[in-house]
Amino acid sequence: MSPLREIRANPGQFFPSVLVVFIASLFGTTIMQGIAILSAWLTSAKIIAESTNAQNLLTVVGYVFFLIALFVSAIVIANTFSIIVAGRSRQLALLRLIGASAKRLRRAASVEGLLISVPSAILAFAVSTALSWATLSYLGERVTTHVGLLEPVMVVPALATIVVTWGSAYLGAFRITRISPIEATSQAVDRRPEDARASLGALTATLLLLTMGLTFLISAVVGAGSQRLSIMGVLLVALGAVLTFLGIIVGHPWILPPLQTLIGRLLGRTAVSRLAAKTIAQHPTRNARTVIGLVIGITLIVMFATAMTTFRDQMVAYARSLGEGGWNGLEDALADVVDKTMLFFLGLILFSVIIAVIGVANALMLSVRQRTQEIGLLRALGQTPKRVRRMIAAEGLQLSLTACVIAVPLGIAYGWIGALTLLSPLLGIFAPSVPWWVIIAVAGGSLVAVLAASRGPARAATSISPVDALEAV
Amino acid sequence: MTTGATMPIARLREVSKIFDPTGAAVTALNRVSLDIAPARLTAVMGPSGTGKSTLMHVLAGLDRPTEGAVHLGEQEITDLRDDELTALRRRRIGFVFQAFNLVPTLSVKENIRLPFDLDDRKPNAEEREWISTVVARLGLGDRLKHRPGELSGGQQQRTAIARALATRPDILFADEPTGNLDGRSGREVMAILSDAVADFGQSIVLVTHDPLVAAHADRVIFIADGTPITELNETISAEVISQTMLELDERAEAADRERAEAADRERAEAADRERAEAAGSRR
Repeated sequence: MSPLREIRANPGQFFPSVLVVFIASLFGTTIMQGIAILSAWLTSAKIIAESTNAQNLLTVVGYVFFLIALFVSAIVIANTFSIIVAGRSRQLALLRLIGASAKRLRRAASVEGLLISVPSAILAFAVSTALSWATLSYLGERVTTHVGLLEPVMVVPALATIVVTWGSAYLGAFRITRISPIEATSQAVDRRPEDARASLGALTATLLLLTMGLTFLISAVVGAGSQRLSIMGVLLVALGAVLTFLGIIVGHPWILPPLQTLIGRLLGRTAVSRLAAKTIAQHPTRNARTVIGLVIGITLIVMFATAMTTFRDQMVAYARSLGEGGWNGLEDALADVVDKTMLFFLGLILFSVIIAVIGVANALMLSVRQRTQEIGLLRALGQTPKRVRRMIAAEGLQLSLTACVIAVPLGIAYGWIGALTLLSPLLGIFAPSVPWWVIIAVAGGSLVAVLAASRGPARAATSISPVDALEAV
Repeated sequence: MTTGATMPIARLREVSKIFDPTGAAVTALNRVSLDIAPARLTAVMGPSGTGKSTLMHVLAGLDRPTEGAVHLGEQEITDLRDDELTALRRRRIGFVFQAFNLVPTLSVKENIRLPFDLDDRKPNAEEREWISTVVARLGLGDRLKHRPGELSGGQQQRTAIARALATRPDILFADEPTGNLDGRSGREVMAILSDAVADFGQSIVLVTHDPLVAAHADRVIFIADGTPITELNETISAEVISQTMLELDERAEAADRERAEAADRERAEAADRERAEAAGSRR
């Protein structure tokens, strides 16, 4: 019941959250301190006399990417806590039976989130500061102005991560309110398929968001056909993209499970893949949340890559169409700048993808822990360890494939429509330049990362002795 | 060489199982030699913690003995590699456990066919017919599409038995199969197991501590402290079994008492000696 005791008794289940908190706050703090160093360096080098504008712009960009990473972290942490709570439901039901209120139990769970996030965030801050300090001393004389690495504002990312973790743990522990004290008295192991669908309100919101978003996006494309650049068009696209994406995030309990079922079916009908698919179908909400983190990261990467590749190709084509007297080769320089900026952005989004992959590994690990008996039974009935490992890998594969199937088309669409709105006054309607290498790299990368991430859980699954697993009943 | 009818389906020779041999060294099985006859229902009985589950695990290739040899049919399974043991469990052995017998995500039908799935094959026509026979016999015909969670305890155990019978294993192991059931469902399950022996010639090893359950067996082996002590072959009834269990308990209690008294005596003597020595050194 005491949060600290729970953490001490079962430290393993919190490790992924600790890691996520560490990466998120390290990322945020490094961005802030990095920007401070960069602008101090630029000012010292007299490259730009007044660096405030550049610094502000960089700060905004940095914050946006940090917020994305933070959002993905929040999803991963909330998911972790809801799985932890699910695994503990018998014990929690007993506490409810004795008379603990659901509210109190939920608060205790969220305090666990707070307790694990604080040391992790402090460590991340220390590591980032050490890195920045090392960079500063490397630059040495080249930076003459003072850089405030320890100014109060630098603590904001770490603090934000702590607060977000605390809140996510509270949200993730929502399940506690549904645990009935009666569950403690029943003999049956809790095997009800979880109630996937959130409230009807969430469904309404999803439909509303999707309809509005799609309307905006379509009118933006239609508007692009009329070849007029308007601030309205840009706003429409931005709003449409945000709304549809929010719609998918809010509506994922409805959108993802059918897709997962379909992909599970496509992956084959062997006992291994079928068991994996069935296990995923058993926990639609948990797995939808696991997938949505990946979806966010991959969509953003594909979107940026598509928008910038399309922009580059169209500008180069336009410049060439002007003939000799056109841009005088300036288009190559432009293409180069666009490519470099794209790589920079992709690198920043990569952090969110890494956090999401940790989420997948975590979901697999907890899934294995909660199926100790089932895996023990399969081993007793003659499932080889290799097949058990393959089953866990198939689970991970299915999750990341689902994410790619949603994220890649979505990212291409957003990127294309964005480029279209900006350039159509100049060029009319054009097809997107799909950045295949980025898509292949990110899809392949996330598949490989998830397969690698499934190795730990798979090893845990095969280390289960059938004898011990069945005696634990 | 003996003929098929009398050839044991499983044999233990001088089998010992010691847990944690370097540390506390708990002896679960102590040089056990045992033959299990085919087409019989053999019950293994004993108080909890006397090694009856370990005996089953070793016989079924779930666990390896520390010493001795285990034969299944003519094959020695003691030296098999883990993947060979796994394949053996898949093809030649059936299991029914006390609880958590079924994969919760699979339907009854899928659970029954699981041993074939794990073996990467579909049951052939003959096997399918056999499965339908078993399913009909066990009264599961209208439950095939249900999930284990939607079944009663008795139906779940019947599904587990159907799965165990599906591959027509050489030997079926049932570990407290009625442990979680009410009296009526328990009797039903035991009747099914007895019928499987009588009608299908299935060999079954049953581990239980319940005399009423063991009364269905053709042979009852009593285990205490990791060794078979005595057995019943005829006149098997719940009363006789209870009586034998009681005698075993009394014998164990007497032994415990004796041991405790001996320890007390020793302690008292040691204390006396210490006192005497202390007195001696003071002087």
